[in-house]
Amino acid sequence: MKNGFSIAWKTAAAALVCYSLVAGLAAPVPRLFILNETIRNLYFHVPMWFTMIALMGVSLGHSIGSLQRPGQAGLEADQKARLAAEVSLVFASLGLFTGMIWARFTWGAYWTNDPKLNGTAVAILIYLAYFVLRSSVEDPEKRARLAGTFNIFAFVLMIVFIGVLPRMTDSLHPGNGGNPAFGSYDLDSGMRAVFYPAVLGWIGIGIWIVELRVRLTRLSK
Amino acid sequence: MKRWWTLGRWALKADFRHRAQSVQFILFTAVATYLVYSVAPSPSPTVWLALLWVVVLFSAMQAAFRAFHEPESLWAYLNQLASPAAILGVKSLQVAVHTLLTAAAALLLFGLFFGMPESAQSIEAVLKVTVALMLGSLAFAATMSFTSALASRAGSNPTLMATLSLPLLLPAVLVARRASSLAVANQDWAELAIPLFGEVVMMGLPLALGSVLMPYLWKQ
Repeated sequence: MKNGFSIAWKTAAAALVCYSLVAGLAAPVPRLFILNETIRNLYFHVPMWFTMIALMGVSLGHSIGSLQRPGQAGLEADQKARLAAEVSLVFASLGLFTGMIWARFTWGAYWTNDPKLNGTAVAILIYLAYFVLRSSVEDPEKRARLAGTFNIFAFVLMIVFIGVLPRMTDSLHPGNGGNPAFGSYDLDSGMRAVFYPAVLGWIGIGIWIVELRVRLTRLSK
Repeated sequence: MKRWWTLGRWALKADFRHRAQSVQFILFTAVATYLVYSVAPSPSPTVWLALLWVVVLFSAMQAAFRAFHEPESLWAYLNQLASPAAILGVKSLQVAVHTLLTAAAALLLFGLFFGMPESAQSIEAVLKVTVALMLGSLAFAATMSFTSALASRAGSNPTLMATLSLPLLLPAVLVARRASSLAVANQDWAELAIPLFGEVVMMGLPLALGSVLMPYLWKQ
């Protein structure tokens, strides 16, 4: 039963990503000034951030587990937290890369002083600091404890930063500072029908990658 | 409460005994301000604020690092005396006092060397800048107290503390920058209210999180 469910969600995730890749490039999109065809980046760039946050949430969950469970179970949870954080950083890099390319063509610069870009930079720096902290402690149990507490502390501050603060200030991003949000773009198109499957599919693929990395780490031991 | 009082008294006595070290923060602030003055003697209001925050941030980091930089034997004694959350609370208070002192010194020295920006010459504007600066400094102190505790558990490495603190401080820095920019422009208190509240949130959140996580962090 468990195996059947596992195959089902992985197949669904792969299918959703394949669908979003094809529909994302081929389906009609609204013709908007400046954005033009770059609006399609919504299908490829934004799901990376959703996946990053979801995987950071997975990492947070394992960190909480590692603090609550003593001994070997706690260490295993800590390993899972590390692996989820690593994969989330890969998605963060992909989100950053796709966003920078898009920004160059629509805003005229690879990087601007935008609250969402600052949030991205903070998220990446926080998780790089998490890895620095891990590498500076030798004892596995102590490492699990320190990394777990930092992960929880940092995740909450990061969510406040990327979720709340951008809404308090102006941003070039759609949905902030008077710019129209995604809802305004898809009134005359099926963008929503591609975007949401892409988000779900990429989150599924991200969790699958973490699961594979956990199994690989177990095997290498 | 009695344990908090005992710990607080101990921290105060320790500060008094090592007062040369406490004066170091003020000296660091003075030297940093003079260094900045030598490089940029007449900055624009934006640069003036940025330099002020940089000086306050690094002075606060020194204070936070020192607060948890104690020998293991002393921690063993303190652990018998009070709970981890109480230790963090008192240490945060100690860091807050040092940070407020250094922030006040930085503002005074900036006023002395650079003068206040043109839009912030009135007493009311100076008061607004002071409130924004003090609340921002407290937000720094709250975050850095926890990261300092973490760094001390990981081997008291000052570079590690800076690595852990700086990304976490960015939200507080941005909120503080917004509050202080409005204060320097002498905007109404009503305009300032939201960013000042933001600074209070950035102070309260790390304190609340820290007190929940401290027992796990402090476990031997």
